[in-house]
Amino acid sequence: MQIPKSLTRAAMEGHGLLGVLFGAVIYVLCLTGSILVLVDQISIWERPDAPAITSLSDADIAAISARALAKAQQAGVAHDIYMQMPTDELPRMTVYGYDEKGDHRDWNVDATGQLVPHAETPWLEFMQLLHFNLTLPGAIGRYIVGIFGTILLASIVTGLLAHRRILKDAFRLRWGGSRRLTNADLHNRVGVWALPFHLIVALTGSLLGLAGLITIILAMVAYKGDQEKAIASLLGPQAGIDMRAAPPPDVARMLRDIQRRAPGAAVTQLAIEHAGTVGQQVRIMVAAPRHLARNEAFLFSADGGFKWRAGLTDGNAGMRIYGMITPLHYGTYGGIALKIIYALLGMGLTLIVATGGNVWLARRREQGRATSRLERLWIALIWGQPLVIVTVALLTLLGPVPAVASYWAMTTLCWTAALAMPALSTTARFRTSLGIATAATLVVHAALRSADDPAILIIDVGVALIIVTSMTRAFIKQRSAALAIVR
Amino acid sequence: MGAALLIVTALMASLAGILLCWRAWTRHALNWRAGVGAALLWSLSTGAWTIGFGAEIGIALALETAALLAFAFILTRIEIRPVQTVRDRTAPPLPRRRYGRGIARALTAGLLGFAAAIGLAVLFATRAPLAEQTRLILAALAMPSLWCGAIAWTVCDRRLLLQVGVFLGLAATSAGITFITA
Repeated sequence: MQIPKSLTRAAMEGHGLLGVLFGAVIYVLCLTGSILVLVDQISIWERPDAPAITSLSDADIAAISARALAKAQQAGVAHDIYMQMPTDELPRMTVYGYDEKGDHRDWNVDATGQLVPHAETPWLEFMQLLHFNLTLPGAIGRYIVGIFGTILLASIVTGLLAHRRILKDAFRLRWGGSRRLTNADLHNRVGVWALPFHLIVALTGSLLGLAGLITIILAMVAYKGDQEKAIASLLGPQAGIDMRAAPPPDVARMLRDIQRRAPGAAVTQLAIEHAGTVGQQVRIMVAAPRHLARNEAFLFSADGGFKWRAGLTDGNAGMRIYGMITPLHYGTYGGIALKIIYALLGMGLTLIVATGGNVWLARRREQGRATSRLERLWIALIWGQPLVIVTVALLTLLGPVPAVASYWAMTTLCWTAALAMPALSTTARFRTSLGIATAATLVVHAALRSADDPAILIIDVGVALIIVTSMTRAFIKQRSAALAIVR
Repeated sequence: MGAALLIVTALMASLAGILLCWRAWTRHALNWRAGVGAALLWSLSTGAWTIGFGAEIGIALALETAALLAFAFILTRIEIRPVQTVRDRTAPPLPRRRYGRGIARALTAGLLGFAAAIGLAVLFATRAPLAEQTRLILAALAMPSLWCGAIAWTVCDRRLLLQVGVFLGLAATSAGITFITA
C-alpha cells in the first residue's frame, strides 16, 4: 500500500516546521546526551585523584553506612542518605546526604572505608544540568526537556511518513555533489537504520522528563491528590513521618537477608530514608545481570525486617517495564562496550538533527530564498556548541569558574559573532577553533592530572597529537589546493 | 570463549542479513523473499545475542549492532559525486505568513493535544483491567506517545477545526468517563 503523495508532502512540511522551530534545543539535548552516556569515564577523567575502591564486603557496607549516618547527622544532611557502591566501570564509592529542603553534601569513601571530601566534577555536573534541565532551576527544566523529547518523537514520526523512498534509497549515500542531497542521504540513512534506538531514546527521555508532571496529574485523579500513594505503587511503602530520634538501622541483618533471598547478589545502592528517625527505612538495590533493569530493589524496616521487593526483574509487566526505562535511556545495561554503542548511536541522532537543518537551508538556497543570517546561526549552533562545551571544560580545569554562566555567555557570544561578523562564522573557522580548544583542554588536563594517573598523560597527549596532526594535514592540503589554483 | 563465539556469530548473521538486503537492492529486487531471508538471519543474530546476554539485553543489542553494522557497510558504498555549485538566484517573495494561524496550531498541538493525551492516559491508568503498576506505567508511556501523535497530526494536516474538535472531544470524554464512573 503506497502512502498518498499528499500525506508525504504534508508530513515533509510538518517535519521541517518542527525542525526549524525546535531543532536548536533538540541538537543540544542529543549532543549532551551522547557525551553523558560515558558519565563514569568522564568522572574518572575529570578527577583521576578520587579514591578508588574495587570491591566491598557486606561487613564493609554495614560499617560505612554507620559512618555515613554519623557524618551526615554532623553536617545536618541526614534526612535521606544515598550510598552508591563501586562498579567495574567506576571503582569509586560516593555518599550523598540530603536535608529536608533537598540541599545536599557529598563524600567519597577511601580504601579504608573512611568518608573523605568529595572529589568535585564541575564540568560533569554542568553537562548533567544542561541535559536534564537545560540549566533551568527546579522541576520546570525537566518538564521542558520532557516536552522536547515528545517533539523529537513527533519529528521521527513525521520524518518516517515523509520518506517515500525508504526502500529505494535504503543503501544510498551520495557524497560531494549537491550539498542538499549529501545531507539528505546522511539524514535518511542514519534515521532509518537506527530507528528503534531513536524511538526508544526519545520516548524514554520524554517520559523521564515529564514523570514528575504525570505523577502529579495521576495522583490528583487516580489517588485523590495523594502523591505519596501514587509514588508508593511503584516505589513501595514510603518512609514513616515519625521524626523522633531512633538508633541507626541494622544494615548487617538486611544484607544477610538479601544473601538468603538472592545468594551472591552484589549491592549496588543503599539508601537510608528519614535516617536516624523512628520512621526510617532502608532501600537496597542489588545487581541483576542479564536483565535490562540492571537492579532488583528491596525495602527493609529499621530493625532489619523485610518489607517489600520491587519485582523489577520478575514482577508484573508494569514493574519490569518501569525497571527498564532508565537503563534503556542511559545505556547502562551492558558495560563499556554498550556505552560506546550508545555514544555512537547518540552521535548519529545528533548528526540527524544537524543534517536536517542543513537540508532545509540548502533547499532554501536552491529555491533562491537563501537566508545567510540563519545559515550562520545554524553553523554557530552545530559547531559552536561543541566548542563552547569543550571551552567550559577547559575553564573549569583552570579554576572555580561558574560553568553555567560561562556556557550561556559563550553561546551568546557565538551567536552574536555569527550575526555581526560573517567572515568569522564559517564552518572551517569553527572547526579549527574546536580542534584548538580540544587539544588545549587535553594538554592542560594532562599537565594538571597526569601525576594522579599516568595513563591520563598517554590518553590526553595522544588524542591531542591526533587532533593537531589532522588539523595540520588539512591546513597543508588546503594551502596546496589554493596554490595550485593560483598557478 | 563461549561469549566471544556467540558475539561473532551474532555480528556475522546480522551482517549477512544486511548484505542479503543490499544484494537484492542493487538488483532492484528488494521484495518479500529478500525480507524473509534477512529476517531469518536477523533472528539467528538475535538468538545468539539472547543466548549470550539474556532476552532483554540480547534483543536490544541485536537492534543496536545491526544499525551500526548497516551504517558502517553503507559508508563503504559511498558514491563520490563531483562538487555542484548552486547558482545564486532570487525567487519571488512568498505570500505573507499568517502568524495567527501558526499560533493557533501551536496551541492546538501543545495544549489541546496534551489535554487529550493526558485524559486518555488517566482513563487507562484508572480503568484498564490490568495490575496497578502495569496500568500506571503503560499510561505513563502512552501519554507522550499520544501527545506525539497529536503534534504530528497538527503539523501535517491543515484542518485545524477538526483537530480542535477531536482533541477537545477526547479530553472531555475521557475526563467524563474517569470522573463520572469513579
